[in-house]
Amino acid sequence: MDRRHFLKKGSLAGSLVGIVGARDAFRIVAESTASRRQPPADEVVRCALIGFGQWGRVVAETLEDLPEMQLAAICDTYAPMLRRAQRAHPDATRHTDYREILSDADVDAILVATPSHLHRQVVVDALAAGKHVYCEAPMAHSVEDARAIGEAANAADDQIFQVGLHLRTEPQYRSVFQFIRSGAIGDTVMGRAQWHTKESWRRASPNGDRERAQNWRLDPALSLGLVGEVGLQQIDAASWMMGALPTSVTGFGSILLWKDGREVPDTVQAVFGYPGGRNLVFDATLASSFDSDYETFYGTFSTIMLRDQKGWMFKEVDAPMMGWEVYARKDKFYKETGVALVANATKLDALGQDPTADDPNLKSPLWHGLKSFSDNFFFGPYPAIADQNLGFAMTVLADAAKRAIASGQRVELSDSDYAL
Amino acid sequence: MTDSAELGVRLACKAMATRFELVIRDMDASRARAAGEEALAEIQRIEDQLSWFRPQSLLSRINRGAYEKPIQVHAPVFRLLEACQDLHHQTGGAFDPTVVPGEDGLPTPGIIAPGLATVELDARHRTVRFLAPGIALNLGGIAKGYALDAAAGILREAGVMNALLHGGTSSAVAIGGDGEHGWRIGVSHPALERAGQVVAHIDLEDASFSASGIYGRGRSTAEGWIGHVIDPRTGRAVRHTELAAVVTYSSHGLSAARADALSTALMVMGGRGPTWPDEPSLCFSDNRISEMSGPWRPAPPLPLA
Repeated sequence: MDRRHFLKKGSLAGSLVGIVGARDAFRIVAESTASRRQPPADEVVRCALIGFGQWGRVVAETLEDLPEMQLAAICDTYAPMLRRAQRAHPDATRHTDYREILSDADVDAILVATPSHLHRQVVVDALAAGKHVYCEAPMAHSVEDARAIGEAANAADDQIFQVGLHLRTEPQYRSVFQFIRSGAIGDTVMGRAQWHTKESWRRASPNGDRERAQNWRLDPALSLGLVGEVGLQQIDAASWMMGALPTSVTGFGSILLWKDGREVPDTVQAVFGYPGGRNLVFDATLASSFDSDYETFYGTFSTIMLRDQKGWMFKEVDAPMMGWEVYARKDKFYKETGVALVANATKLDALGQDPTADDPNLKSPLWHGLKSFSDNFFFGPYPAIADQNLGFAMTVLADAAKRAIASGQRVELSDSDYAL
Repeated sequence: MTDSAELGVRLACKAMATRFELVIRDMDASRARAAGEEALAEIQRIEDQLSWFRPQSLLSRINRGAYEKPIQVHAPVFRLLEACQDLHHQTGGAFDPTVVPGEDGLPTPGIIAPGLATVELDARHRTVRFLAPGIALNLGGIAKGYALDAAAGILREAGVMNALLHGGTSSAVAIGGDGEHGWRIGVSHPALERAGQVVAHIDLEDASFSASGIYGRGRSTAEGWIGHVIDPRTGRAVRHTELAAVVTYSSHGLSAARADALSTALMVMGGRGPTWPDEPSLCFSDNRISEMSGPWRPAPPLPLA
């Protein structure tokens, strides 16, 4: 592996993580690495993708928009997926056993997009084989597996380990994070996040074994449910904005539409309690698509809504003037007026692009997540923003929410629960 | 697994400024729905890629940058562009997805685009390059069929053996049939629709269908209705043919995309006879079927003056 180590992981970790508490570590590390440098010419990260299901295909397609990441190999255990791989990515080699890829010295990084309950084996083996690893979120389906992955990542000191929690590297979220932290919305009093869609969450296959394997999200033993499998991105972003990890979670869940024999709720609500009496209310449903997905952070001066990688600020009448909002684009939401918050507005203006128009070069949160992984490859390794500690903490949280929803009981969480 | 023995499902979504719908038969309802949802998600994914109207789509990226430098595209999209080139040749230029965008970014009627010959495809690097400035690709004439082809592939992979998919009723794919007469497709015309009649119908089994017409989008003028189908060779709106339909006998590969391109080309070429002898086609103008090949079953004589 021909790599340049401009920064050493150990020294950076020592200077940042060592001096702060577990909760604040995430925030400080997040602020330290906003690298958007050009990778060395002609050097690429040779990647292998394990798992070519629906999300794996999105990962593969996103890589085509990242020239410094080359998709060298694709692994899936189901033949029709490999045929799809051949059609969509003819240059990548195809495998049914990921261990073949681990023994290939030309592969630098393993991207894991298998079902959550299969992450552990692949990640642990890949790290043991000396590969850098990007693992989709949730990091694991159980706290036990998350711990095993986290310990393996801790032991692989000179390798990158990153979890697919993307919103902390998405520019609009980073910009809003700084905005909230600067006190611009006053004191944050509560948060709300939702994810609404109308779909069965089921998969079909002519092959019975395959169909059972494919429907792992509907298996209560293997699935973290709607909170863990889809809500975790938003809950992670909210925790980042709140500057803490939840100390409690209360939950509710029911099967209201898809009464097809499943046991995993199709509609859930969860209340995450943060220090200082603040709460995040999260709800998700597979039974109504109304109003789709977004997050709102309520402050004493104003409220911020984040939606489709865009942000708006809704001011209270007694909020102090900031000046710039007079010139900003405003959008009406029924009777409220949202002031558009634009990340990189000055830069866009300098490039001759209208900062109020939709950015034609907008990249997805996944793209930014993969970009930070490749930056880390070329200029690191340093601790990833979404590292094993964050991945572990979010698995602990998702597991707690699953238990709260199943039991109808409030689950308390302490610092030691989150400690890897 | 399910609490009823219900069979089949009908699902729909909005994409490409129209409504896509699919009907699956002979499959447990919850499994059929699962397969159908994945197929519809694929259609929406393709819309994201090929939309003319979305600045972040791959197509918009090509249109912004392909004159300055070659743009690399995904393998499936590259194959679609290669198919466009083949169809362009096979139809003598009557199918041509290149346009000269106007002030509003939309294709300009009355202007002849330099044509697909000025779009260079490099198979080795999978890149697209425009050899002339000021042109753009608008895949509106083929994207619906292409999306249906992809969706049909997903359904078949999920074990569906009997289904009909359509986009805005003008493009369709039939997977299997019901054993008796396949999936019956009627070709409609506004004047006949009011009388509850169709121009003709045809039974499809593992086949794709596409119809083009000057009705729908367009404008009324003193000289009559001017439709949105433009002859790429003259830059003028097609007026000699009101409606054209084509069937391709496959529900695999790019068969619906091919049907889409051929029906547009047939519309443009008008009554100059079907160029594809094995693929049923039909043209309608002046209140009658002006050209017909293949097993169409025309409706009884038309009650028109």
